[in-house]
Amino acid sequence: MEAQSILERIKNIIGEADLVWVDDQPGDPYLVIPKEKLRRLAINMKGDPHLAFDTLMCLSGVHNMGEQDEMEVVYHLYSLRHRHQFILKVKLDRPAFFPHFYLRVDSVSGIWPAAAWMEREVYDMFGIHFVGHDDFRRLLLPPDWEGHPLQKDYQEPDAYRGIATTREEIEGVLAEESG
Amino acid sequence: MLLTTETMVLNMGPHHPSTHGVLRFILRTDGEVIHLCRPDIGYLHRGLEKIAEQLPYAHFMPYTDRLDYLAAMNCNLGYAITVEQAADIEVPPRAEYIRVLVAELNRIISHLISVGTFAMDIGAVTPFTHTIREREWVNDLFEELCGARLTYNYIRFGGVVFDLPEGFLDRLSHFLDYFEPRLEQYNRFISKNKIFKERLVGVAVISRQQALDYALVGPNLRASGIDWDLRRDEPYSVYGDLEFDVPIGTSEFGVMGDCYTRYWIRIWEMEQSVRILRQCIAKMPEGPYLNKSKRKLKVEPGEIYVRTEAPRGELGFYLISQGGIRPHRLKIRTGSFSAMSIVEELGSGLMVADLVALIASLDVVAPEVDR
Amino acid sequence: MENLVNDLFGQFAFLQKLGYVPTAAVVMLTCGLIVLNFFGVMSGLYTFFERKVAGWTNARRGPNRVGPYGLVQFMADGVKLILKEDIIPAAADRSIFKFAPYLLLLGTTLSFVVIPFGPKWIIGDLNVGVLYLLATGSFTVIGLIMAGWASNNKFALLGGMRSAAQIVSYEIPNALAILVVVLMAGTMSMQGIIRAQAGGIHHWFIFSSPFSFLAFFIYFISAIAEINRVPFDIPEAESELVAGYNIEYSAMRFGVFFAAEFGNIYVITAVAVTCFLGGWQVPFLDVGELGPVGRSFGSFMARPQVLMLLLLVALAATFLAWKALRAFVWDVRRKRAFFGSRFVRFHSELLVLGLVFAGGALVLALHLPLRAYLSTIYWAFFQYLLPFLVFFGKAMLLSFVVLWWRWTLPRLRVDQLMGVCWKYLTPMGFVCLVGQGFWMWLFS
Repeated sequence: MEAQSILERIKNIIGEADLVWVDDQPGDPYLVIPKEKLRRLAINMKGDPHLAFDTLMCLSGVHNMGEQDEMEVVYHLYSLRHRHQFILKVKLDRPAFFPHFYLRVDSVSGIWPAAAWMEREVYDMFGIHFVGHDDFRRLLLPPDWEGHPLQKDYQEPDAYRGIATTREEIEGVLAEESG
Repeated sequence: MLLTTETMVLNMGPHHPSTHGVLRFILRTDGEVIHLCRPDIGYLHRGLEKIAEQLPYAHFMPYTDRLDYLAAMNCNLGYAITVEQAADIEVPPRAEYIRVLVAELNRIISHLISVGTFAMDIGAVTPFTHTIREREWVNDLFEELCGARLTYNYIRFGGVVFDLPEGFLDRLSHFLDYFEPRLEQYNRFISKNKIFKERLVGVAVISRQQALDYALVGPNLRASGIDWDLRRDEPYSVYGDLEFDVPIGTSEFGVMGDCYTRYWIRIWEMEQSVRILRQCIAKMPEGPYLNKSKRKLKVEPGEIYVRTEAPRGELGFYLISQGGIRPHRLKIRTGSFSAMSIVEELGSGLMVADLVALIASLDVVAPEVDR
Repeated sequence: MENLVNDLFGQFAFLQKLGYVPTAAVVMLTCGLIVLNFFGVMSGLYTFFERKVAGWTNARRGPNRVGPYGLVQFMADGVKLILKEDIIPAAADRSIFKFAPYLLLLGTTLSFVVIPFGPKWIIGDLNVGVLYLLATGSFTVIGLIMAGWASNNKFALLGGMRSAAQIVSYEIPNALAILVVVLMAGTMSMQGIIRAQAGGIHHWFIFSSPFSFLAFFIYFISAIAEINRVPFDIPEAESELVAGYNIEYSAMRFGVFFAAEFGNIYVITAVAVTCFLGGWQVPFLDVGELGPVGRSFGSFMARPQVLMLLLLVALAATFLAWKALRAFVWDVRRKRAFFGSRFVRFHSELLVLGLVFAGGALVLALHLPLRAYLSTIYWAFFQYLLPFLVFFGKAMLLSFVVLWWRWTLPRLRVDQLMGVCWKYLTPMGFVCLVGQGFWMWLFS
């Protein structure tokens, strides 16, 4: 199925309101949906026999610090049955106060189990919370790590449990030891 | 009299002979039987995605070598294709053939390591040294090509960095003549070994549905009976002009999707790679090997998701550009990552020895999981 | 001199006036010293042997730096192990942890007491030799469990658990297979079993009935399982349990585990040779027939087997001499200094051997007046050295099979391992035992 007809079908499922179809820039077109509709759409996209998106190829987080501070969760879906793909995006505001209160989106790990780890990774790197996830922890970084490194305004802590993380710091320690 | 028994927590890794690289599993076992298996990853996390955001496009190429050190060429290729598509760079035909050639050669040696370490995890030490011997030869060829033996940094946007040295194709076909009979030897040596089959057939079966659910890719997906290979179904580079079969798991040797099928798929893929290589040698065109038109690389704002077939399956690069010389975001989606995420579900109910076989059969490489 | 213990009592007769106990103590110490030294050298040579076999299967070379052909490598390794720091984990059960390797060692070295090296060479020919062997074999399992438990490490514990289950299970088919031999020989003495196989290859127990033929394989497989070698090495499965029961051991304690493992290979192959492959019985030559000193030398030399042997020796000697001569000519042509010469570097030992063999052949051929001495020497050769070499050679052939398997086969899983024992080997062992009974009732 072509991207346009997939889009039509999606509009049938969740209505046309608040959907933004972006195909004017180079690269792949994508659909931005409001986060409230994500879960319902995901269930239908997997279950609908005409769509049948059986695999979640990729789930990524993106942080934009342009005009407004916002985060995106991008779902690259693929249907091995029909051999077509589709890209969904959910945009989340990141206000200066209580950002973690706004950085919440429904988890799709119940629909595509592959999402379980991918969502954990996105949380680890961006601090986006996935609601309804079974086993929601950090994935790659240690549980007591501070901050989420792929945020554009991330400041690396100088030390982790007394271990220096920056090169200057390490060189300083080495200089102290030798001098 | 009833004995009271209790389960115990067994910490396997991060340094353990069969967790290749640094993986860690926390197992809750009842004697030998695993009740709960929890992989703990991140010991090799180097923040490649963050590094990519800091560097100009071309400077990230050496880092892709480190993404999967057993298949550096394939990672190079995946990244190069992504940026080329985003920045509209033409690749001369000779360069395309050289790229496919090195990628397939690297697929062979990556699978050789996979097969060798698999046998070693099952307890047979010798196959590993034999596969390493063959790999050594290819390493020599690569060294001749680009001076490096493991992290090649060979592919550039718009081609490759060096042309093939004189007589390289002859030496390569000499290697292939030597290598093809070796595969039959491996089959006699490992694949048809009674104990080896006994250990693997029917162990840790991944059903079709599970494979789809967990987004398995590459040989692991094909072993579960799903006919999907990016090289054939969404041909990139010159794969469209080459003839090869895609090995699909069957129930012929045991259960579809078990450890043995996953092993067997890799042996078959090596055969097919040899076939592709022979075609590349025959069809190798003359001409330039690098398109030098775009020296200062800038990518228009936009985003693109490109996937290529690496030895461990689909290697996807999700590139978002906001203009300029650096990517805004580069997400790397690797085969080992999803393969690792299925271990948690498959692990429970297996024995400790089976878990080792499962990890080996999924061909997980730690740096690719952690990135 | 039928066995070493009795012989030593004779040798130390002058101590008799001190009483029986001191004499016995001296005799025991001497025996222990001999056993320990033999065991040490054997396990050392086995490490060399194993590494060479490993090199051969792995398409590499193996040790070849220390000493000629790397033969002394094991001594370097031993020195290294002794000099290393002996680490005992803080949470380990110290006394058990320290004691476990020696119990393992005890189990192995005790077995050496009843292993014969020739018709006249054995430390103590017990009348319950085979039973004694089965008993000492069980020491191993206690040592392994103790090591696994005392290390306070879960991998070690799993290893100890596995080994306990495995060794105890495999002792059953092992004993059943040996019972078949006891049935045939009518004795449990090791020398008695070998003597019962006199009279040519077809009298060796492996070839004398279909049931004993099967029993040999049952014995061999279960014995390999008992000493934890591949494909049954699950207690120390490297890729699963890292190192199994010996994971926390270091330095010489680890070395003792290692040595005991290699010593065990010799024990099981020696028992297999004794029980099934005719022990020191030389194929085509009945050593037992040879009389004592003074028996007519001429008639002895006239035996076709002896002539064949001499011919072979002469051929070998000629070959060696020819090689040495060629090296010598090579050196002379190039005017090499003596110590830099190819002759000295590569062929000196060949020349010595060649000279000895050629000289011996010459002396024999000429029937010099030395023959009175020679007949003694040759009698000793046929009574002691040849049977020993034959026994040792057979054991080494079987050991080669053990090592070869070690480097080619994958490892079984725990449940499959138990399945092999209880579903196949044990029932087959019973069938062999009963079948052998019927066989003997029918044919003798």
